[in-house]
Amino acid sequence: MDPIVSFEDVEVDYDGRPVLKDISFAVQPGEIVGLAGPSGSGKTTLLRHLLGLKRPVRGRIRLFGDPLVSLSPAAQRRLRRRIGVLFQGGALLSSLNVFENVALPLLEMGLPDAWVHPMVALALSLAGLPPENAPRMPSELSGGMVTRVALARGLVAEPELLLLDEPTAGLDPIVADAFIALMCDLQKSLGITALMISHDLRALERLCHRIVLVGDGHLIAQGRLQDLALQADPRIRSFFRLDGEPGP
Amino acid sequence: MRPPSLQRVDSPGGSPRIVLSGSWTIRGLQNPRRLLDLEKEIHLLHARDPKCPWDLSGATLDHFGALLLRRGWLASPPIHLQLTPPQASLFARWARIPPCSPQKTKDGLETWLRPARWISQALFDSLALIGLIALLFLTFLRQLGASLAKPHRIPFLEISQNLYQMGLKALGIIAIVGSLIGIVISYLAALQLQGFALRGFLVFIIGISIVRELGPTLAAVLVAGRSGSAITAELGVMRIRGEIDAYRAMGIDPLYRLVFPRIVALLILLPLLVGWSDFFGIVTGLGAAALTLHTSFLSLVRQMPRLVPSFNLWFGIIKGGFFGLLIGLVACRLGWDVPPDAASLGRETTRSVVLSITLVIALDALAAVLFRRTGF
Repeated sequence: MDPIVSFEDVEVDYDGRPVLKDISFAVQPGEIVGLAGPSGSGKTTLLRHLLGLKRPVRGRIRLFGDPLVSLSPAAQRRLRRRIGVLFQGGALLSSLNVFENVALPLLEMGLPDAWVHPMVALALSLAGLPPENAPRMPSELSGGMVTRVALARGLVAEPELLLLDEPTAGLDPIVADAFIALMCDLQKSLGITALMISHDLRALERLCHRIVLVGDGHLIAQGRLQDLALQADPRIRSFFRLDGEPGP
Repeated sequence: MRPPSLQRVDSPGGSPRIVLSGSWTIRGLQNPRRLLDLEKEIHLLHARDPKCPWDLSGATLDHFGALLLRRGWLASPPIHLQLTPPQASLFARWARIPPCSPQKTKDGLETWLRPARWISQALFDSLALIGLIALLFLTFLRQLGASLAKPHRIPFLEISQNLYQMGLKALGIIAIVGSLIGIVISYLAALQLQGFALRGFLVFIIGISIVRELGPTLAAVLVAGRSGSAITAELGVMRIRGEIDAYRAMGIDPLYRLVFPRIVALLILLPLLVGWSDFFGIVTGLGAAALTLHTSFLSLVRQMPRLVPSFNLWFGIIKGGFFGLLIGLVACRLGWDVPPDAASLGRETTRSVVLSITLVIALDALAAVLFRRTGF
């Protein structure tokens, strides 16, 4: 089966400064891949390239089998509609209530209201949010609820790929654990494909089938966490605190 | 992606069945017209023969496709339904979803009372805003008194920054607008008075209209639009980003650090900007009059102090101080209370400008009525 996402010898920059070189990895259907690395290592930059918001300096990024660079802006927009994104901090639109935030991707697709209402109810339910929260404004929500609403917005249009940027950042351990458990349930029941950027070792361990570790401008390692734990590279051992050293 | 389709298949020797194929997914069904057609087709097929078995196992289905089928079947799904296990879980999930509404539920009485509630809310909000502005004014007076008692605590740096931003950078636009208004008044009046040999009256009109009314009002309107909006937006963003709470957490009074310097700066600036605007208005007004009447510019300037009593100049400048105080109070109050969302920030900034200008003109009208017999 063709991978949903593939990076082939990709080099990316940030404001003209090279950030990552020789990045090659793929995300297969039904797989959750964790993209990990120290702060400033270029993880979010890679995500922006995957969304087609930036062009790589070198190499090729394929999304659903199509090379992103050669697509027209309209074709890229069509591809993006097949993706659900959970941005860091939720990025909910502060002037819209929970219902309107979640409904936004469906309204953009031109679906009639009668179809939007049940789909929003489903997405809220999948994200573990009671329907009473629908009329509330983002400013009235706790951090954990903002993340759940952002997840509902990411799920509502039945994405073939979910991109999660630090979904547990800023959440307390209990709320973060509840979110990880929810994602585990969704992966089991919906078989979602996801690429998750995270520093949270518990999230990476419990959710991801494979981990791609970047740092020092390169891809350091990729594979299952159990396999990475066997490697002697001090950067890997330091990141995953395998020697009891401080991690990221 | 194959388009969604359904057909009634008559199997040889057996009973007919309805077979679905293609992509019954949100992306395969997002054309609203096609969606409604399919819903109608499902409904008709099911209503015609409710006992006919349906075979979905060959179709690609997601939650949206399952929703379409549920809507088409209305409340009664087919008795014989052939599904794959993932498809069965989609229907099971839909059966558990509670409805949700974008609005809070309202009863009938509340709907009827809504207009009355809007009016009372608007009145209450207006009164509350007046009260809050008055409260801010009292706080400002208290801080001014405390600052004068301990001058070393006055936030001179913040005040000077605001003087630079709101004053020095506004000199150009105020000079241009003041000059243009002087020219307009001069030409309009000169055209009317030509042939009446009323040169002194023209000097009086230019002088009195600019120093008493137009200079202060125009400077205040420009400052309200330029600086009042900026103050509301700055304080609003600080409120949204939690900077005001950070001041409080550090034991610093945010009103004294953020609001007091801005109001003081406007209080100092507006009279100076009024003088600046008056100067350009009169110079260009008299210059234009000299050109129109073919007379000496200096002779017109010399007539000015005799025809326009100095009270009018001071009246305009002092009015400017009140306008500055009013703009500062309104802009700071609205910025201080911005609700934490992007739309509110824009709305409150617009409201700040509109309210400041309205109150400036109202105060100007009140002053005109109260001092109607003075200065002539």
